[in-house]
Amino acid sequence: MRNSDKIRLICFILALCAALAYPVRKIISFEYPAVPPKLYLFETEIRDPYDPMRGRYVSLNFKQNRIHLPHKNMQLMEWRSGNQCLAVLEKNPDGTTRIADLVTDVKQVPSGKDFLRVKYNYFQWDYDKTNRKQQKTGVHIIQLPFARFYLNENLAPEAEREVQASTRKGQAHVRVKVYDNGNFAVDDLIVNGQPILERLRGKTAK
Amino acid sequence: MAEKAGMIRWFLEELPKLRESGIIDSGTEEKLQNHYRERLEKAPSPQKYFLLALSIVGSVLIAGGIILLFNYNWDMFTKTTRIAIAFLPVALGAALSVFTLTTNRSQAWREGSAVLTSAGTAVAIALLSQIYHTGGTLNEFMTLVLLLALPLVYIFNSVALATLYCVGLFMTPGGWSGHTPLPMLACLLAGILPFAGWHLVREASPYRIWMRYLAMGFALFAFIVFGEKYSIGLMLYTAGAVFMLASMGPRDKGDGMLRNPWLPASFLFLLILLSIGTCSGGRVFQIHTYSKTPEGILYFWLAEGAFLLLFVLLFLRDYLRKQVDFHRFMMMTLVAVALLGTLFEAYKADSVYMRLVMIVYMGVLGVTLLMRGCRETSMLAFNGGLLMCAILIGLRFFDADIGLLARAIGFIVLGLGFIGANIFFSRRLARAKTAEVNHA
Repeated sequence: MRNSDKIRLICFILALCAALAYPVRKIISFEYPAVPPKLYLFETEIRDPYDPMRGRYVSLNFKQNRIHLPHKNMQLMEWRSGNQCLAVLEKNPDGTTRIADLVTDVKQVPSGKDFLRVKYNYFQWDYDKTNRKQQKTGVHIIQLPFARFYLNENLAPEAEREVQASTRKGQAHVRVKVYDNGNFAVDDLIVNGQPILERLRGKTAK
Repeated sequence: MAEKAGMIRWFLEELPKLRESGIIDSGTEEKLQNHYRERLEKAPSPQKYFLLALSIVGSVLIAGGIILLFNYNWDMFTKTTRIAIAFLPVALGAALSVFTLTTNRSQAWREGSAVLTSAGTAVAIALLSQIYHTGGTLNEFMTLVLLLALPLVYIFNSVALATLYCVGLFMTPGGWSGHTPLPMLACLLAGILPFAGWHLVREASPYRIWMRYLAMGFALFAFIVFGEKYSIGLMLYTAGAVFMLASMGPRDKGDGMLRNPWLPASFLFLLILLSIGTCSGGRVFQIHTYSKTPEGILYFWLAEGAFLLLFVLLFLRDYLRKQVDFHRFMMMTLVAVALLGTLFEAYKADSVYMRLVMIVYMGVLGVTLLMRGCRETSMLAFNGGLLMCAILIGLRFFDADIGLLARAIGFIVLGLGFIGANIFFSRRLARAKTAEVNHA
């Protein structure tokens, strides 16, 4: 073995360790978190697009993407368009999730509250149709960081049909594990209180 | 290199004929045979390059196939099994890499190892993101993959991975779904530049020519990412001048278009830029106020500064080698004109002055190229100058308030002049060659 190749081998091992550090750290942070994650339910509609490399998945469209915050209007958020901000999460009495506030810094998150890093899209002014006048209030349009739920290529179209029927009754939810540092992992897609895979497999078995 | 091997083979076939004709004796023939056979052995064969290309394409296809294979009916495995499978390609790549390095394998193996390990890492990250449904955007994913691939480019001296890196760079800026921060994009670009620079500077590098093509990709990336942050016109003009100046050295050594792609690319690029400049004047250096931020301006000037520094270094090198001629000087003038134009535009000066400067510049460049073509009997320089003059005259025809008939006649005369000049020049070239042969 040449001396130059020995140096290359050492460098390669170091580079490989650095490359593996990211996925390994990710697994550890998800599997062994310091503080156990809390589960949040987000109401959603789904579509079934196709990705040539990643296969079938369902695309998620959340109702929580539109947030009305009467105390924080355009003045606060306009400069953030296209940037990241933090959505403070709260649970509704029915168990679903509500975005209680949008803040720009982790220090502004009230203690004990969970948060997610979201993309701030734009501010949409309210419009009074009767007086044909733009109001001083409006909604903040954001984008939640999870937009996909991966599924078996045979099950994805079936899931879309199944959820399309259920969303009319407003009962499709994505269950998300939210960690105390703002990390998240999509746990399951729940249709009428039942995980989607269980529901679809049950249907196939019948 | 393949071109040289072909020439040596042809020469070896000629040697017996030269001996039979009595031009050389058998001793000289034997010495020449030994000398050139030795050189032929050292020259890499075209088959070697073909094998290299095949191993690169093969590695990419295998990596793609592995991704698709794992995506098929994925949910039948438990989470632990899925995580283990996610790391399989990178383990395979690592094993191949260690085998390649410990057994001193050829460059084809090294290229394959680099691509496979890098693809394996990308697969592991993508699959983990899928297993935990953590989402993310393509630009975030590509940024991470490229950062992890960068050391492998250097370790394996892998031109294939550098090429894939160049392609991947264009997926990192992001779009509607999110933007990668400018410092990260600058790091990604700056990370690969020493590798490209090393191969471009080293005359013995077998990848020197290919790196000339890749360098244009890196420059294009810089325009896209940093150009619009202040004044893309200035960056385009400077980069055009840099590539033109850099192409003059290989041109003087007799490198053809394929070996010196900077020459045709930068000539066409400057032709288009100058044509736009002669029509819109100073507005070509317009400063984009809508997307201007202090950070953006800083990174624009870092990129522009890199182009300017490169220009100065190239000019200095040519000066020390006593190669500074009129056209190199013209490139320096172009950079000065672009900087001046940007300054005028910043102070909202009337753009008509810059327009006049551009017209004069294009005219002088075109005419001097024509003269150079005639003097050096170079068809390329002659036609380049002719094209530049014809476009300048044509554009002024469109500007002027001339009737259709006069315009039509003008264009016909211009076209006939173009053809006539080429016929005249071809004959002159043929006469010059005949005279050279007779003289010999």
